[in-house]
Amino acid sequence: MKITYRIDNLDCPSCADKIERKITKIAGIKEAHVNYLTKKVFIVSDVTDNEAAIKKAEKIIRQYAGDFEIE
Amino acid sequence: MIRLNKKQKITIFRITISSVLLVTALLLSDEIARIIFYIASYLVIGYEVLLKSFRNILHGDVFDENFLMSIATIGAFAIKEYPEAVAVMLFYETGEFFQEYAVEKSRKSITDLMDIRPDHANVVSEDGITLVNPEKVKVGDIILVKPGERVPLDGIVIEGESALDMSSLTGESLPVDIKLSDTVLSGSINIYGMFKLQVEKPYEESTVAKILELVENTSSKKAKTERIITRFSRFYTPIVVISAVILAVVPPLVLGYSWKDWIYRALVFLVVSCPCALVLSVPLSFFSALGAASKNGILVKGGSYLEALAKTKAVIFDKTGTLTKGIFKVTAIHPERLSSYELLEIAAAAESYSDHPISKSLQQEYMEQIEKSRISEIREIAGHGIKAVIDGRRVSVGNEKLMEMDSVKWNHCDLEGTIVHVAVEDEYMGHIIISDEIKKDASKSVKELEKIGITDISMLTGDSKSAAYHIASQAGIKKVAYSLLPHEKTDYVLKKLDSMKDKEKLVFVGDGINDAPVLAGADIGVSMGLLGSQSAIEASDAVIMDDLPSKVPLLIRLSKKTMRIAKQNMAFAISVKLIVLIAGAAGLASLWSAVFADVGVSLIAVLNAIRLLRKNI
Repeated sequence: MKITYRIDNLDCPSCADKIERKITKIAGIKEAHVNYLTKKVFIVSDVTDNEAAIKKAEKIIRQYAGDFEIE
Repeated sequence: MIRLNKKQKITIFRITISSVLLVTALLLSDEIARIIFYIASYLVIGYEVLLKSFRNILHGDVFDENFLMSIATIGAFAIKEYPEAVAVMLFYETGEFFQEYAVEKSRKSITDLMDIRPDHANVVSEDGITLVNPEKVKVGDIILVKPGERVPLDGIVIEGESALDMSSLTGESLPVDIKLSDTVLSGSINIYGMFKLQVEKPYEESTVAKILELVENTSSKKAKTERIITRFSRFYTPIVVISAVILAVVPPLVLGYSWKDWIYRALVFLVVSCPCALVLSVPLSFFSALGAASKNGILVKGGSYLEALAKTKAVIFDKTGTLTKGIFKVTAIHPERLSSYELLEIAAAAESYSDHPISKSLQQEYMEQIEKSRISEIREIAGHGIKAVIDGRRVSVGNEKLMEMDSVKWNHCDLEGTIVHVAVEDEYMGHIIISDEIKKDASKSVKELEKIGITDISMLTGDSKSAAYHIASQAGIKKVAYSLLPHEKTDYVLKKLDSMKDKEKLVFVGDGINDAPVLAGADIGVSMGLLGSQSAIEASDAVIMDDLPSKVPLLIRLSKKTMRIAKQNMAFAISVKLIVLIAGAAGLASLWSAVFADVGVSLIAVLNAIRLLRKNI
C-alpha cells in the first residue's frame, strides 16, 4: 500500500534524510521517500494493510515533523 | 513577496526582543544584571531549539542539530563567553529564518507553477448549472467555462468564443484564440469570454491529470549528486562531533593546556557540525531547475535526468512530428489507368482504419465518408504500408518496399515528400504525394545545439531518402538515416550508444508515434507534446509541451547551469566549513565565524540555487 503524507513542520533538510532512513528500517516498509522541498513523505508497505508498520512510521514522522495530513 | 505566516512573525518578534536585550546587556556595567540580561536574551531566542533538543535527546538522537546548537551555546555560557553564546543562537535563528523564507518562496513559486489542478467544473444540465468535482464529470457532459476559470477537462467548444492562456501547459504566454469546434486542453485558463465545452475525455485521461501525474512522480527520482551529498552528510556530523569531544578533552588532559581555550575550539566545531547547507542547496538546485523547466514548457521527470542531460554528447531527432509539423497534406496525385479521384478513394479506404498522420491527410483530401463494409482483411505491415481487400479486390497501399515485396513495378517520382504507391491485384495504379512542413525553429535548434558544443546531431525517419534529405538539409543536419522500420530506429540508437563512452549521454527526441521503445532506449528520451501518445509520455524522461524542438538546446543549457550551481554550492559549503574547522582547531576561528559557516553559507547557497528560477537560461 502507498501512502503520501503532507508535513508542515520539517525543520531542516537533514531531518528529512533521518526520517527517510528510520522509516526504511521498519520491518514491513518497503520504500520511503521524504522530500524536504515538496514537504511530502511517501511510504510503501509490503503487504496491503500493514497497520503496525504504518503506525511506527507515523510516529517517526510526528517526532521530527509534527502533525501531518494523509493525502 | 509572500506574506509572512504566524510562526514567521513570532520569529521576527523574538529576534527583535532578543537583540534589544543583548544590546542592553552589553551596555550594562553591573556584572550580575548583565548576566541576567544575557540569559533573558538567550532564552527568548533559543527556547525553541532547547525544547526540540530536549525532545530529540529523549529519542537518543545525539547528532540532532538542535541538540548540538544547544550544547555549543550552553558550553559558551559555561566558559563565560556570554555575548558569543547569545549571538550564536541569535544568528543561528536569524539565518534559519531567512533560509526558510527563501526556500518557502521558491517552493511557492514552483508549486504555483505546477498547481494546475482544476477545483470544479460547471456542468450544464436541464436543471441549470451545478458545480461538480472534475473527476466525476462524464464524457459527453456539457460544461460552462467562465472568464478567469481554469478549463477542468479536455473537450470541444460547442458554444461561445474566447482566448486561452495556455502558459501553464506550454510556457507560451501568447493567448490562443478559440472558437466553435476547437479542441480545448484542460489546465489552460479562460481569459475573457464564456464558452461551453463538450467533454471528450474523463479526468484521468485529460491533459491536466497527465501533467500532474508526471509532476508528482518527479520528486522520488533523486539525482546521483543528491545521493552523494546525503551520504556525505551522514558521516560528516558524527565525525565533526567526535573531533569536538577529542579537542575539548585530550589537549587539556594530556598536554595540560587551558581547558577554556580548547573547549572554545570544540564549540566552534559543534556550531559547524550541521550539514544543512549541503543537504539543502543541492536538492534545491535540482528542484529549482525542474521549476524553471516547467516554466518554459518542459516537464522533466526528475533531477537525475537533468544530471544526465548536462553530459549530452549526441542528439538524435526523429523527423516526423519532431522536426516537422507532422501535418501532412496531399500535394499531388499521379494516377495511371484510372482517375485521380479513384486513386485517392482506394488509398483513403485502405488507410481508413489507421491513425497514422499519412492516413489522416488522405481522409482529409478525400473528404467523403468511406463505407467501412467495403473494406476487409486489413493488414498493416510496419514500415511498408497496408494491404486490404476493397470491393473484393486485393489492394496494396504503401511505400516502394511494399511494391517490391509484391513485385509490382512502380514509377519513380521527383517531387519532395512521402510517396504513397497504390497497386490493385498486383498491378500498379499510380502514387500520391504527401508532404509535411518543417517546423520554424528546427534549424535554430540545430544551430543552438552546435553553439553549446553538441555537434553529433542526426535525424532518423521511416520515410524515403528524398523526403529525409529534403527536411534534413533545411534543418542543417548532416547525419541522416532513412527508410527505417520502427525496430531499426531502436537498433540505430543502441548502436550509437555502444560507440559512446559511459560519461557521454545520448538524447533522443521523438513524438512518440511508433518510437516509444526508442525513447526508452536512449539515455534521455524527450517526447514532443502532450498530444503524443500516453505510452510515449510514460517512456520518455522529459516532455516538451509546446512541440518546439528548440526547447532541446534550452533544456540542455538549463541542465548544465544546474550542475554548475549545484557544484558551486557543494564546493563553497565544503570549503568554508573546512577552513573554519581547521582555523577553529588552531584556535584562530571565533564562534562568530562558525555561525557564519553554518547558516550564512546555507543562505548564500540557497540564494545561488534560486538563481535558476530567473527567466533567462
